[in-house]
Amino acid sequence: MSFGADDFVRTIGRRAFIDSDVLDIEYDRVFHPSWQFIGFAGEVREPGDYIVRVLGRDEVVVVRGEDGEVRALHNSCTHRGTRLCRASLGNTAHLRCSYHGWTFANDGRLVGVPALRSGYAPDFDRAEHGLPAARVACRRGFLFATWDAAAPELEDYLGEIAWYLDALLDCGAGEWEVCGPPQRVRTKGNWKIPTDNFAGDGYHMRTTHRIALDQGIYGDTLADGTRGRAGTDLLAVNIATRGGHSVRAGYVLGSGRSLEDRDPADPQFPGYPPERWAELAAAQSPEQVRFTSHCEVAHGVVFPNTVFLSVAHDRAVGEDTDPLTRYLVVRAHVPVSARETECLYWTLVPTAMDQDWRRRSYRFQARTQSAGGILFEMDDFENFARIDAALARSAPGRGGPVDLTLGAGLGVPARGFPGPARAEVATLSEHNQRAFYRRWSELVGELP
Amino acid sequence: MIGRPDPRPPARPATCPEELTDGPFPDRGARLPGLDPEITAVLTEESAALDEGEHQAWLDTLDPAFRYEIPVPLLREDPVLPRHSPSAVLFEATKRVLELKFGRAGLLQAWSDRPATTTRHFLGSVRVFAAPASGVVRADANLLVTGNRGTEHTVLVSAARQDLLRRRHGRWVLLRRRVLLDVEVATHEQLSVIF
Repeated sequence: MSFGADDFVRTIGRRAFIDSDVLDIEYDRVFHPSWQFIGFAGEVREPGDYIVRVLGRDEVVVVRGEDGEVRALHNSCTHRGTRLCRASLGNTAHLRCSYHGWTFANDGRLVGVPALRSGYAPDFDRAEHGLPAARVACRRGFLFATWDAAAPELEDYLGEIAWYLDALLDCGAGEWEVCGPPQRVRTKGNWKIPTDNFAGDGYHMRTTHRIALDQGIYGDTLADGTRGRAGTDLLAVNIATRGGHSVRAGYVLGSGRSLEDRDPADPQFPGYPPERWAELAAAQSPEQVRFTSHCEVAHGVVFPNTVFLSVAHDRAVGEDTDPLTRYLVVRAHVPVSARETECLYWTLVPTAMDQDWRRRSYRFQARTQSAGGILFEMDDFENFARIDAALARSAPGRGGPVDLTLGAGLGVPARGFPGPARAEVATLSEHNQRAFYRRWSELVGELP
Repeated sequence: MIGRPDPRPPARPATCPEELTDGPFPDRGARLPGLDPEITAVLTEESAALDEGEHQAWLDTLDPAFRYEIPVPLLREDPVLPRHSPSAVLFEATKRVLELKFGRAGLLQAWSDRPATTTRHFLGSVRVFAAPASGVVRADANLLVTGNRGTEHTVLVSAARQDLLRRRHGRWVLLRRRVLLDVEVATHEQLSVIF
């Protein structure tokens, strides 16, 4: 690894993306002390509802107990280690081991041991054999968990990024509905490859997604802004926090215009119905409106492996009568191995929008950037697989380290930007990726 | 929408076939074994067009109202419960979306389509049923697809395929296709297949 004067990472060795020893270290030093997103409270709405997810190295049963509390329980019997839940979702009052029948309440307590009185010594204590439970925190319906008892509270862990997540959610003028269960797909490539893509990679759009832009699936404004055509420019602001979290917000403005040129009396929320814009603005603080107004695309990372994207698509993927329609998708990039990643996608739609709008929003996501998105997503997967294949076919040192210097030193502070943390204007920059890897390198330390 | 079925009522006798492209997939009606050979022949030609890269010929087998969907597979404890989500999809498309997909094939920057993947559709156990609209049938089939694109991209994927076909201008065209994958979590190579 190499660092710039700002201590952001500039280059990173190739083995970080292919070496299983590095993933082992990441499990201990990156995933263990971090809060990881494990799903939505709405996926376990009723007592006994459960979903099975991965938390660091471990599989956990995320289950709502009879007391209403959501827990993340290790999915492994404390007797022989047998996997308890074989299904991915369901409802149960008890988790019963298929081997010898040890039975756990859905709060993790061991409540049933066959032949307890005849087969075990009198001092056998069931309380000592409950399922290990991770810490769980719920924020606006988002469930996070960590195994680390010493980790800071979730709010402190999120820090400044929470303001931006709240702004994106408040722009929906009310509650959000999760179009679940999540889409899932296994992709080639290390978990950091798609994650740093979401941190701030606007650079790949003109190449990787050139055809999607040309085919008009982003509508004219964003496509032309990205390509610098039709009198518009895409102007992006990068915000990266010390905790490795980031957001990149792209604004389509008239050529030569700046963020300050937006009329605060005329907020615009592309992708939402124009007749609802005043209502959406009223649901936000003035500072949030200054972040969300005219924003065509916003994406980022909640360190380490959760990403989000809010973007609008055009009628090219719908009907001629369809308006530009936005969707918000949250994703988790879960390592399967050092070279394979499972991506889970949850699409969120604001309940303030009517049923047709919500259905269209989900469809536009499903047609483009979904697990099976053959018009868009597959070109990203293609790149991730090509990176993986070439890195794995490189002798140590061959080709040099991975380069992250785009835009280094060229960002301009975004004057008057409303949110916390340093914001810099640099439409094409790897600023956020450098910040992601800065936090990653702090946690990983020196690789042996 | 979490795990909830589509709130719209089950498909009822439709006044026009286009109504069957939205909402819950229509249940099987009466078995129509006499149509098995004819529909099997239609689906065989259609699959061949996909495998042989005859994209326009394949698109011509689609009704203008065609809808394509791959529901999210669900691994559930109770074998009685549905194994696919009634509302969530891995992918969904109209004829226009598929035209955009095949419109990429000749373009240099269609990264995931160049080199092309060689696919083979193996279709079996085609059974034809009545559907709740005049001139429409439902055909259920087993499907095995292989895909190859270099040494590291090899695909084998099995699925149940459910089609609605409509009689239009003297021939059968596809009105709706639902693909029920057997695998719980597919790879991106498997999901890049047009089933």
